[in-house]
Amino acid sequence: MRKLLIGLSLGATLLLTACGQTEEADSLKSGDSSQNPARAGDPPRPAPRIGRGARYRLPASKSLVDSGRAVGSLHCTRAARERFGVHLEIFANRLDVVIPAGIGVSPPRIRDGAYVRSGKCSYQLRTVEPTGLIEVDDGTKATLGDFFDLWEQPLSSGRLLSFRARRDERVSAFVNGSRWKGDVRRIPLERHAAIVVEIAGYFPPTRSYVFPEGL
Amino acid sequence: MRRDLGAALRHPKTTALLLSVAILTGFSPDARTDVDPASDVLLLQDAFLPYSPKVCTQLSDTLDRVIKQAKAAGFPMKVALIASKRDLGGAVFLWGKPNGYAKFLGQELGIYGKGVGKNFKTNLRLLVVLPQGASLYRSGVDAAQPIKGIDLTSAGDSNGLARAAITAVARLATEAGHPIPAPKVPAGCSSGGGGSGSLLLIFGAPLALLIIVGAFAALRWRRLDTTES
Repeated sequence: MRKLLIGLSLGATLLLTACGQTEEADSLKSGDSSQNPARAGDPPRPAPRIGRGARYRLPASKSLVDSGRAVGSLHCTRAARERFGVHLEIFANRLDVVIPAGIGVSPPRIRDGAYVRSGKCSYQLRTVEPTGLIEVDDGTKATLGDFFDLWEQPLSSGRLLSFRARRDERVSAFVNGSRWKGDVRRIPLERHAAIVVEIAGYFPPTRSYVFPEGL
Repeated sequence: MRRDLGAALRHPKTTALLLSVAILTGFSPDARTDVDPASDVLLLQDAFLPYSPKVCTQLSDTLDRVIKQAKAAGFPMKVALIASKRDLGGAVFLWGKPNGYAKFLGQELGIYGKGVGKNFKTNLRLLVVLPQGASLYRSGVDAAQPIKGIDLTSAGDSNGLARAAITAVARLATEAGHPIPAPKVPAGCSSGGGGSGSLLLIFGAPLALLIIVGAFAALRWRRLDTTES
């Protein structure tokens, strides 16, 4: 009897969770449809605050990309290829760090407001808008470490950009909402991955991101 | 104490309860970061336009112009047009909620609180336009208010949202005592990736081709008919 009750309790819990996930999956799949508005009773979520100052608003690149030289296995070409999207979000002290447009795009860059429209050449990984959206050339096997190398910014278990982990802390990372337990630099940049990297504090990570058409 | 905890954990009911709580909290669809592309873009420019379909050039230029006019008249404003869930990125739960999204975006940008916001030196208004409605968020008032009396179109019509935003910016500025000339809203769009232009290309081109082929066939048929008779 006890086993039956426990089984029923677990079953009900799993069913409830599955229902929630199905609802979310459906809402994501429905894309442009206005037939599926968010639930009226949803509690308001905390909005991530964008950090203030130069540590939260970094430039796109320095010398390597500016010169168009190879960075590890990544090289700068003018060839147009199919691309897919990966979303990266960085938090330091629970504040959002803006990932600039133009990483992996060699100057002179043609800008249009917040966007970079083109450059002399571009690498297999690049950002053309400041939203954390990384465009990856189809067939590229790259990691988050490669992206930070291209950006020329530090990333390790104890360092994220200009932020250093305290003695009892580490840089934490999440991929599609699940904690990444290995080396943060080795997170693969796979199609439609939603990656969150954090230091000095915790902000609930995203589990999914709706990508623009064509990515 | 530790023994009590160990005993409790070994108890099947406790384990089931803890597992249930872990599943419900750790894997809840609401346990996530809220990331949307508009917040990053609006730090650097005054309007966020939908990814797809794109707003046509005439309308985006008019929107830029009316925002500049409002700013010059002492009514600085940021505008976000959201045509589909894709424009919300990781904040899709706010689809269909203009007030909720306006407040959320305003908080992200840091334009709320008493007086001047953290990321901007001047008081800002934030206008968001979704197919379901438009909403205004203001510094100093940590709440969003719906904008009524604006023609809104169906989801995915980015040009319709742009037209609504142009009208709304001018009206809001004027109502707030910063009058600007009524903008001439372009009725049609001849360039850019606007919805109407794309539709014309998708449906118009095959139709035109069919008409040409039909006319050619009819002409040929008539010629054959004349030759035979």
